[in-house]
Amino acid sequence: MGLGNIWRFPVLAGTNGGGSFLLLYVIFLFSWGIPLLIAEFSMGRKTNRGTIGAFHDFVGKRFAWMGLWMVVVSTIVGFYYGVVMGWTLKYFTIMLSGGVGSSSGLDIWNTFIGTGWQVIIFQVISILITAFIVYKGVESGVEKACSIMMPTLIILLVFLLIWAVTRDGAIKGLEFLFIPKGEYLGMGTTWTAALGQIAFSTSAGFGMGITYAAYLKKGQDTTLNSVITALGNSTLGIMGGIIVLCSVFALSASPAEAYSALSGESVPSIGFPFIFLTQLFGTIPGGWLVGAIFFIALSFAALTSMISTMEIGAANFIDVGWDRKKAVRFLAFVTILGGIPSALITVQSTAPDGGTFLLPALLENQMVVWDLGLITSGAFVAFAVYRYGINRFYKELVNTPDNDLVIGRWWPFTIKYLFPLQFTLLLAWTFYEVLHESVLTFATMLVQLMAVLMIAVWLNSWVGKKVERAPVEPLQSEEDPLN
Amino acid sequence: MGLMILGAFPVPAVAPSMVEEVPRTDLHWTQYHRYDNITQQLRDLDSRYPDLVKLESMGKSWHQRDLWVLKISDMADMDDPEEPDVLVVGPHHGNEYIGVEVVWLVINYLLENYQVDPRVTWLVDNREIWVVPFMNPDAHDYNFESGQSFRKNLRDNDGDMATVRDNSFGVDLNRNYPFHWDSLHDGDITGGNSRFSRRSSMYAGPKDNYDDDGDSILTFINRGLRVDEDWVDNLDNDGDGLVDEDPDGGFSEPETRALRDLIQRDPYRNNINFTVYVDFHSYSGLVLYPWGYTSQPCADAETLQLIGERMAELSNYTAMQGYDLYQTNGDSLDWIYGKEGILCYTVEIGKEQHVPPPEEIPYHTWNNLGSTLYLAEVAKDPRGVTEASQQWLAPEPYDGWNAQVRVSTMVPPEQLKEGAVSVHYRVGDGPYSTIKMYRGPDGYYSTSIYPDQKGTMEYFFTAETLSGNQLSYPGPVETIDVEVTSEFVSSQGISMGLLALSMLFFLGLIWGGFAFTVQMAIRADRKKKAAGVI
Repeated sequence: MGLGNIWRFPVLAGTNGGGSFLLLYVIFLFSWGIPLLIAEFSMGRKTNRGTIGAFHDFVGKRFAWMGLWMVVVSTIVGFYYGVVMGWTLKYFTIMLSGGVGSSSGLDIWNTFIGTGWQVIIFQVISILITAFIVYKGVESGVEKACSIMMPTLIILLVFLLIWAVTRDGAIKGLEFLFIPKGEYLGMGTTWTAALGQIAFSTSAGFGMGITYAAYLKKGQDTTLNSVITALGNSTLGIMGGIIVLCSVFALSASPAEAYSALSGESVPSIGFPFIFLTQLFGTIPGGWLVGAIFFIALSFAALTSMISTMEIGAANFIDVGWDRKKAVRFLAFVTILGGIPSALITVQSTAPDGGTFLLPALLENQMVVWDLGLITSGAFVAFAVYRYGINRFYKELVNTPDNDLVIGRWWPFTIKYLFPLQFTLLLAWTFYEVLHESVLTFATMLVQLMAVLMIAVWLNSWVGKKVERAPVEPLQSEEDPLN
Repeated sequence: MGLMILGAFPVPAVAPSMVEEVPRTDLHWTQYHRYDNITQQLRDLDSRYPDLVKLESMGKSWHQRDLWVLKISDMADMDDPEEPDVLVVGPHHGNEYIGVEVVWLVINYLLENYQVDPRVTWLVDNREIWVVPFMNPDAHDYNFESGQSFRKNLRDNDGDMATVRDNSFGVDLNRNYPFHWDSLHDGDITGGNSRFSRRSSMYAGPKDNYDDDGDSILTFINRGLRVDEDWVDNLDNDGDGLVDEDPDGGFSEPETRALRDLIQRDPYRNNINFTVYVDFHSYSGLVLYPWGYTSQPCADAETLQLIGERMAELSNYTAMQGYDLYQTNGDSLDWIYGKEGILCYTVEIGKEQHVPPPEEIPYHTWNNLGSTLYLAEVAKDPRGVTEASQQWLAPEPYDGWNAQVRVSTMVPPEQLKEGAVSVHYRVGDGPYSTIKMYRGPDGYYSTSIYPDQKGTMEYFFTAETLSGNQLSYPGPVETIDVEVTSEFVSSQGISMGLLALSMLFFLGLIWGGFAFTVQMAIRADRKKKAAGVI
């Protein structure tokens, strides 16, 4: 996911103490992201269906709602993702028209975010392009475009990495990102943010693995691909983190100002990658062109993610008997409508220097809430594995002859012990902290999550019937792989 | 040689070999304060002493930091016309941290001892004491972040927005007051360091070049005509009947303007009437008074010398006219005295260095407390002070030290190099701590030790004679294997080695892991293709 690494990773690393976040992020990559992707791919390969069908077949008809939960959550994530994709398109046009010029990155941001209709127009354009591609089924064309765009993006990222790191003061950014700070490790939000970022950017928990495994050719590997997908994502994420955080420190007047920017005091926390990247392009000769290419390539990266999100949704609608075009029309409509509040609802904050900035507050809230949703999705997948029989799953579905990487005994151990532990502890910690901080925020989080949960459970029997098919195989007795 | 002198080396008159109690109060901190920390604590004081203090921001620095001024008085929210106003100002220069600590002690000493010590109570009840901890918070903070030693403020002179502050940044705030700013001559005679070069560490700020009084209709054609023609010197330089109406420079900085606006807040001097002013610099061990721009004595020179001598006595410093140190144009004193008529002093703290090691902070803060309190005491009628005036607010040496090590000399103390006499001590088995010792008014070297734990204290002394011989008592200097460096190091600094190690770990794990697995996949793919599996 392009935006997950270039936009989200720096945002979360910046607001959650840099090195502390990175440390937890890497831990969760191995204790959550990679095992989960392996489970999803293996599960999808077995069921060959959308997420609802997969849960229905795999776990039982009483649990089809878990698959529905995954669809709804990934669609809702698509709401705000579409808005941010709109930002990249807008920033493409900004760079084309000359970049930062004499105004500051923050001014450009405020002007853009403050003009609600513009934000919505770019959001709508983004989603319409996505829908058009899924609707027409011309993904192959997008893939062709991507085969040019993705290498371009990678080359630009490598260039930006070198450029940003060699700016004066950038070393402070490296210090920030790579030296963990004790106080942040003691905060539940850091842990949730790190796990949320893993769930988001490796798309573990979106159901992407389940859906896409169905498209894999026979004989193709899934385990090594899971590991590569996860590591590749984190490679990009850390690159994005280095570029943006080094820019923040290099372009701020003092480290203190950089810290104040990262803490969301002087610039909107979820906006600073855009703000500082535009300023970074301002320091490059011919930066407007570099920036334009960068943002258009980033838009393409975002487009591929958006397409797959919509594909997951569509695949499930097709499973319950909808026509593909109807499903896409419906999804596009819902995604646009659902994203408008995130695009429009902003809060004006005052910086310590007296300046003001606009923070898309609802979008920030959505990030936190639906990260919890994605984490829950991951727990559901672990639950599915548990119901199937962890040892059986491990022997039959993970270590198949097709797979190039033999997964060790750590995998069943992780699913059996670490997943429930991480899930319950983090959820409880997050809820405790949020409740402690603001009852209102806690209430909005709970209401949103509960609403989706209730809808999913309520629709369970209906979607269950729609995707009716014989279960994979009758359950066998559980045999503990660790004994 | 060594042995002979050793026998005559100072021995402790009071041997604190057993340290029973270690009372510590927060008035003896041994760490430099940062701006954010002081800001927080000022806000705390504001809520803790709602009747005694009033906190306000008198303006903002270039980087929009609030320039705090804390007013201390009974009923601080009211400006009592009966009570004279005293202005106590921290360092103008970003690298003279110790001044912040001194005024911070002034604030806390007054508040802690109100209604405890009757003299402090009287002072708070009968004076309005305004304390400005930071004149130049930007550079102060920048220095702590970057480990630099930046003197000027952080104005971006050439507008290049560079993030590393070289000397192209900044105006020397203590050259930015307009009185006898004298843009025609470089007043500073310190080694070719022109006041009007933007890169100078004493850059006085941009010239005015503006027709402040609007009398030059030809400004467009000839900028030189009737522009900046009546500079600030209390004279009608252009003979138009107006005085000082078209200055040639000064007050170009928000920091100095903020102080000007505070002093001029009450134009009629009814309710707010500053009668005395003191600001802190480092270092030289001097108490300076105007003028700085000329060697001529000012009208109040006798009074200023008298009060200054008493202030100096309290810190074991020397009082003199500013010009006698070196000529300055545009410093705070000249304007505050010259235009506002306030009796004013600049104290140059310490005799050794700009930044004393943190463990010496209590020495310097307490050593400079008395002069400020004394100045506040005489603020009612400072010009009426005579040789015969009572002076009851002399500082009392703080008696709460847990262990006062006093060294009596058998060698004449003047044979020892000042600043090179130290005591090394430890409680328990840890490394020795080192504190420098200073000559007190009685001529002896002394210092105060405040160990952070109970136990038996071991200690020894080291010194250097004027001729350069190293001394150690007891024991020869060679046996000292614990050297405590006193150089100030930014707490923010993280060693490059640690960073490299951490980056190696994370990047090796993720980037290396990615490269490794991709390579693995390519190999596996080739094998499968060869075997015809896919």
